[in-house]
Amino acid sequence: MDVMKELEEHLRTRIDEIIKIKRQGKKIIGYLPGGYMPEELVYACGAIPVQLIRGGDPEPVAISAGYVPRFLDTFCRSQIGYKILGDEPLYELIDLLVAPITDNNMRSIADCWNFYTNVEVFRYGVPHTKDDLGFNYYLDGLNLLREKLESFTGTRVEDEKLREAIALSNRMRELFKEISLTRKSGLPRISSKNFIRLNHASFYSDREVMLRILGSLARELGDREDHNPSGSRILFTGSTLAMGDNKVLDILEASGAQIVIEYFDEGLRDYWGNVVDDGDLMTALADRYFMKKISGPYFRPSRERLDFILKLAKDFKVDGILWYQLMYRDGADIHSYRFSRILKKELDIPMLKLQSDWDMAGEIGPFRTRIEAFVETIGRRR
Amino acid sequence: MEYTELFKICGYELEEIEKEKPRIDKTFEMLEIGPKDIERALKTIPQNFDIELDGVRKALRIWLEELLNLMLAKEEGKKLIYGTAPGFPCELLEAIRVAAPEKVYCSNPELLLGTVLDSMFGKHDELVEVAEGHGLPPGFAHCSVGEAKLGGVVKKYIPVPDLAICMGIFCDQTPETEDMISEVYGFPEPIYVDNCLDLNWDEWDKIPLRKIEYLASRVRRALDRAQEIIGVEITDDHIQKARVNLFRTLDGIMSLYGLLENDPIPISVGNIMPMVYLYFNPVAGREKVIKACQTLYQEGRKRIEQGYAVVPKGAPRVLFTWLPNIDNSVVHIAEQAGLVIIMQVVLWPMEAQRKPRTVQGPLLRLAETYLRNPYICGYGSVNMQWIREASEHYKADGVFWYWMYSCRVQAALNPIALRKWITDELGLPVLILEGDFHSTREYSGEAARTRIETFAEVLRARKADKSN
Repeated sequence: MDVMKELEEHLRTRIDEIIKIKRQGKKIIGYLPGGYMPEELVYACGAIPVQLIRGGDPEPVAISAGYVPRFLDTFCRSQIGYKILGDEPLYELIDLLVAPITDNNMRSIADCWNFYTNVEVFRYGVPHTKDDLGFNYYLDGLNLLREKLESFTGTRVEDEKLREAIALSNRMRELFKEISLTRKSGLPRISSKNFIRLNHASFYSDREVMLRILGSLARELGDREDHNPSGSRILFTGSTLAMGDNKVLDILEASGAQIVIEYFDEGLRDYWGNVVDDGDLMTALADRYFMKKISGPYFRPSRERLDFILKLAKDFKVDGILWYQLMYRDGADIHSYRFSRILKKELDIPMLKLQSDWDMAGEIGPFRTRIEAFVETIGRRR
Repeated sequence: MEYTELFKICGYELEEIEKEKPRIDKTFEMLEIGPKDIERALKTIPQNFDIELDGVRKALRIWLEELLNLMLAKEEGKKLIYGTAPGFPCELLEAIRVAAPEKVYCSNPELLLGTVLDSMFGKHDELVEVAEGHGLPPGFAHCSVGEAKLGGVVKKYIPVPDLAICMGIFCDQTPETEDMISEVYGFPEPIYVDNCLDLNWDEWDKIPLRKIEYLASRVRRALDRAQEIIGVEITDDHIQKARVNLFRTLDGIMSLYGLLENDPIPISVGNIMPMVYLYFNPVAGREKVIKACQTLYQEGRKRIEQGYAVVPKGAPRVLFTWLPNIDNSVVHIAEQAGLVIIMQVVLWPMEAQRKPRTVQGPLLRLAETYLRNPYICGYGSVNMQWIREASEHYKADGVFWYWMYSCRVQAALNPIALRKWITDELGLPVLILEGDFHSTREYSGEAARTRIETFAEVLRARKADKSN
């Protein structure tokens, strides 16, 4: 696809661009994944948001053993590994790390960056229950975030700027959704690998460029004809899908199966709902980013997430579920058990659960065997 | 079934055993406790605890009493309300009990079962193994407290409550497990007491009012739900009474830690742990816990007068984080190696905790108290400050950071960073031991013996250097 080439061209020079932007005095605001940090606030104060979403490599995980205990989520441990190694240029450019604290695993990233680096870390909490108390607490947190961003950047967040940022972020979400929904039936018009690449790119690319690329792609895909599906249709879900963690995707696509929809708590843009600007903007942001967002497995209760994945499986007419989680992410593991039971009752389609500690040498072989067997099983059922 | 000897070593008189026989028989039947388990308990209890001490026997008796109370509460016409281990804030269930002591029984069943079934009967691992086949598989470092709960539910050891209150003020795994238990195993949907661990690194001594109010509101909602169940209003008075009861219990426990400031120490810290865990678990009447503490204290004082020494005089003294409630072998090995374990993180109040509360009203003050606790609210920087203050106060020679590998809170507290900080800032040796407080399948004192003994050698050598 030409747009993907255009994207890669842009990303090839994006780091240099960000360095130049930083030299001009703009601030680079890093933030933890999970979907609870409204980028709109960062844009509205003239800064550049960059999500910490790098992953998939064994070395940062290995290095992290000298800095943080092993029994925490792989992604969370690796973040101090990437920073210590200094291999990830984006991580070296961050002026402030914003940490929405969802669970203890995410908190450990904030603690490690506080203790082992010179980067300032700002935290606010994501309550675990969606009700009036949780909403108000989260809204307070967003207001504190706003104050912090304003004082850090020296730029007030004016309503007009915030409104404009919301409109652009909404547009991005709409385009992602439009592109994603082209896979609802027939042969997927975009591969999962490309779709995920677009997601990851959106976390550090230039927003205007990204919107243009997404717009072109949406038009292009909309013009394509539907083909008869070939290959099994897979829903790909789990805890975190980091940028660089491609092995499962590669194996699955090589096996002939098609991932037609993805849902991850961290690593993919949450494009399922927009900010509704109908009054106070901060309240609107809190409503979208907390109340309306599908809750993570660390929420209490958390059935909403499982029901949403089930709905996706039905809407996208999948033949099987590939559940991919990282080691020691407790909530995701418990969810995998709960979901397997719900799935059996509601859809009775196969589910394969894989867990990874980003040990490439030890995992690729067994993963390949299991995924190929899974795809074969689904193929026979079809 | 013959269990007289067992109950006697746990402080019961013969007439009391006779009187309680129907309840004991029923409870043991429900928990599938048989002659082999009792035989094991008769060996395990004296290994774990110094049963010559009347105070220790009183504590063990309380654990057994509470086990009977838990298993028979519903049959005996009480409403059953659960919290979740480790039970913070403890005052929540205590307030419910104080409001209607005849109508309700409150418990953290996994803590109760874990303590009794394992430290006494060695049956805890059966629960863990069951849990591993029902949603908490091995190899994922799932919390063994949650595993005990799930295993107890699946085996129908744990009675279905009328209300489940899930205390997730610093823990994710407990609420995640409770959510699953209610969905899959038909327990009532819990009400969650929530908190966010979002204090910034350097702000640990300035707890914002919004955090205090949020936690207090969550506790109040849980109390409101409990009111509906028990049909009795739970007032600020009840909350205040609960706070006083727990203060007094803590006072009793701290007096026991005071005995450990003597050189040589007259009792092992392992004998204090049953009291500590009774602080965290609701009991049908706090007075008996306070009495057990007082008895043990008097016995300790007597031993001091007699010159009794658990560890020789002049032994190095270490701060520690937490100790298992099911296996005292780590403590015994440390003491045999010549170490004195003097104080644990969650209990001794640092300066920021001793400052007057900034809010009014028992519920808000309760919330503020918990938010100031370094261990409970799990802030790395706060734990560093605690260690600084405690090491100065107790003239500690080292730190024994024993942490539960399957606890994400304890992992996130980051013993590796803490060790670096303690070594660089305070110059104290640190032993980090990874373990499991509620299951001995993978971690045991024996496995750590060499490391503990080596650590003790290092501390003795340093102490000798200093005195020269």
